[in-house]
This record gives sequence, structure tokens and C-alpha cells, in this order.
Amino acid sequence: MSRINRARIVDGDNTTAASLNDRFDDFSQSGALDTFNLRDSAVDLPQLAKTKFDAPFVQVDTLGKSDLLHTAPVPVSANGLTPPVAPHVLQDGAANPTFATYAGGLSVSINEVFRVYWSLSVAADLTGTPWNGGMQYNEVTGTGAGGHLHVSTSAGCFVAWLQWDVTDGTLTNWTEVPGQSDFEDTIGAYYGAELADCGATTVIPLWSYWLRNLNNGDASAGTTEETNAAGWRAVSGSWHYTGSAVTIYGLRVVLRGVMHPRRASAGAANALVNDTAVAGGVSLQYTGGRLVSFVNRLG
Amino acid sequence: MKHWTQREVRTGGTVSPASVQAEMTSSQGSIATLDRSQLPAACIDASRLKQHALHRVYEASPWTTTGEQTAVVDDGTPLNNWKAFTYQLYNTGWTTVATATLDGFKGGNLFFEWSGNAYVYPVSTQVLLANRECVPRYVRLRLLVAGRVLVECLGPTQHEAFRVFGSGLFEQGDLPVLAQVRLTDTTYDDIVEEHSTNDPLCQAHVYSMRYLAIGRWR
Repeated sequence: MSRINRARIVDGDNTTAASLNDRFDDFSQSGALDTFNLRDSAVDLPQLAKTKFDAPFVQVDTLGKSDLLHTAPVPVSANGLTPPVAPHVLQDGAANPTFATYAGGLSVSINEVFRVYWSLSVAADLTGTPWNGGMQYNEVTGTGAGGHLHVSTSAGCFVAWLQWDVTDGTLTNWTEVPGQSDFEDTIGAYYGAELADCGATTVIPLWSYWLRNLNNGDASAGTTEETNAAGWRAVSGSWHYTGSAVTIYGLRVVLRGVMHPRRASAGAANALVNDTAVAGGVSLQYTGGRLVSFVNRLG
Repeated sequence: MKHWTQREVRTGGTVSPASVQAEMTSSQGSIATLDRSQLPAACIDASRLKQHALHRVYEASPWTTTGEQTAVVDDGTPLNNWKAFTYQLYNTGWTTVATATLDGFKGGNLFFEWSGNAYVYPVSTQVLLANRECVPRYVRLRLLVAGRVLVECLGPTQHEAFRVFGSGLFEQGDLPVLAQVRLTDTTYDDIVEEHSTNDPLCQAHVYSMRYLAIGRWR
């Protein structure tokens, strides 16, 4: 916006009420209140209209099941099928899905940013030694068969990501948010997603595996394996959207596992793929969380 | 504090240049722009603000082309590892994995949050030489804004999500932002390669990166 800068009135000028009042109207025109026309610190709370124009929308929704003591968490089985089954939608423990809905649709314009923050209480539930199956390990020098030992990468994980419904209020048209895959893309012989398509993904660890008394990269002498399943913890995710105007009717978090790093071939893109071989020994359990969504003006 | 006594000028009234100038001088000029005593209450809403007059949001999703770090990419890892940080290529120290420039920052408070996922290979946490104490593996994270540390933390120790955020006061200008990571340094006993192929093993990676920043001023 340009500087308000009318020429000075000088002796001999004809003045009218309209011309003089125009000078004062300058200050009420759209966009006139800029750095040229306002003194430093000119704007304080009283001057700002209480119309929430800067943060016009905020909403908090409950995810999952309220169970602070984890007495009966919601279990999620790992997928063992190829192609994979549909992802798990967070629910309240009674098969009722939990997600955010926006009555009449939440309109996000091109000069706004839609921000999402969510959390969930989760824990891994492991049976057997899934860290030693499928593609979950590297081979290092050690006391195992052939002089080597299977050493878990500890990269096995569940993934949580965001889906929204931008079609209508029936909430039957859920799709992945922009920048996010459904983890059903073909990656070589597996199903998953390239990391470039994981823009709204939160990974959830399942275990940590390490070696005690490892000697010069050799697990042969006196080395013991240690493994800890990932216990109850809060995981969280965040995501934001700007760009084309959109009307959002619903937003939800879905889960899938067990995933593991993979490339289709040497030089191919990094990806996370579904390791179905270890599905029988892994499930995830969760209780409650929150999903906060709000809208800000970009500026 | 000066006061702007706006008056309605009526046609036919007596008006002299001096009286009008005095009025205008009180409300306009290099030392007489509008201040808080002159602005009416609740007069400012979105329609009257120049874009970025009060604040500005900066964002990128993904941050970098794919959201992945490409500062250290070892393509020789096994196929069930990512091509990313290996101890064969990582030279220790803070490594910049993403950059941004906050154009037109007017000076004031900056809030910056950096989100993503990180992986670290924890297998060598308790090696023989380090037997006196564990050497936990971290992907330490820090944000530099205009060369100064905005926030720094130990970061993930497993394959997990992170969100790092901080705020501070910064001068006006196009602020450069660096997102940096630092791995736990390797030791003599670490597992750094595959048994039979001697392929280097992935030690860490950062991906799904995105950022959102808000500059607030005036």
C-alpha cells in the first residue's frame, strides 16, 4: 500500500468540504494502515477488531479411547496380507471411529493456513522375536550360523497418517491429505510409500535392539543381545496445509504396520514398506489422544 | 501525546490554510502518523491491513524437495537400509539438512517449528570400549536463525517422529534458517558394515521434514 500523501493546501486554494473530508477518509481506506501511515506501536489491543480475523477457527477433538490406566487398550493387528487391508481408523474401543468433523464444512482460503496437531498414547505388543524376522535385520560378524548374527535395524514401526474428507458432509469420501500416500504403492515386490510421499506421517517405534559388549563390530565374544519393546508413550503428529482453497468436512488419523525401510533396487528412492513376514508377532495398542485443528491468516 | 481532533468541515464555513494544516499535521507526517490515541477502538480488521502488516506465516511442506535430508546419502547400503547417513560418509559435527530464507521479516518475534521423522541405528549403544557407560545414539537437532541457535535438543533415539520449535527476537531482514543434525560419533567397536558384503549400514536418516514459522511484529 502506498503512503498517504496528499499535496499541502496553500494560500489561494479553493477548499470544499468534500476535499477536506477526503483527507481524513484516506485513513479509512482498505489497506491504508501500513508502516508508512501508522506510528510505531500505534496498534494495541483496543484498536484490533474482535472478529478473530487472525485466527478464525480452532477445534479440539478426542481421538481413541479414554483409558488413563491402560487397562483395556484398543489393539491393532499388523497386516499380514498382500495387498494390504485397509488401514485402521482410530476408534473408541467400541468400534466407533473417532475423528474431527466440521459442521457444514470448514473453508480454508488461499490466504490461510490449516494447522493440525494430534497426539495418541501407544505401546507395542510383541510376541516372539519379530526383530529377527522378515527384513528387520542386518547381518554382522558374530557367533551365529555362518559366522554372522542377525542384528535388528530397530527400524520396524507402525505408521500413522492423516486422511480428510473434502467432498461432503456424508464423510464417505476419505482420502489422504496432500503429500501423503496410503502406503499401498508398489515398491519392488512390496507395498508401501516412498519417503517423499510421507508428508503427514508419524512413525511409531516398536522396539529397540542393541548389543552389549560389542567388540570392534564383532558380536562373537561375550556379546549379549538386548531388546526392549516400546512401552507406553505419547506419540504426536503435526501437519499444515496452504494452497488452493478447500472445504474440509472431516479429518482423521489411521494406522498401519509393520513397516520397514526398503528400496526397490540400488539407487531407487527410499521407502517404507509393509513387512508382512513379522505380522504375527506384532500388534500396536493405543488409548486416547487429542486432535487440534485451527486456521490462521498467512499474514 | 498528541491528539487528532477530527472535525467535519462544512461548505461555507471559514477555512484558512493554517487551520487545516494544523489539523492534518496532527494526524499525518513523518513525526505525526497515527498513534494509538488517535485510532478508534476496534478499527482494524483484515480488510484494513496491508498483507503482512502485523505478522507473516512462512511454511514449507515438504521442506527440501522430498522432505528427506540429502546432505549425506550413501548409496551403497543394503536394500533393507535407506541410502542416508553412514559412518563411512558422515564426518561428525553439525550437518545442515535443510535451509530456508524468511523473506521480508520485519523484525520482532519469530516462532519456528520443524517437524518430521528420524531414524537412528541403536545397535552400538553399549560397545566394549565404552563399557563403562552407555553411548546412546541420538539424532541431535538444532535450528540456526541468522547464525544464532534458536533451539537445540538431543533429538530422537529410535525410529520416531519429532517436532522441534522455539521462538526468539530477531532483527529485520531476510532471515536465513538452517536445520542441522548431529549424530553420536562412532567408536572403535561400532557395527558399520554388513557381514558378507561389507556394505555400509545406514546409521541415521531424517525425512518427512516440514516447517512452519510465524513472524510477529509491531
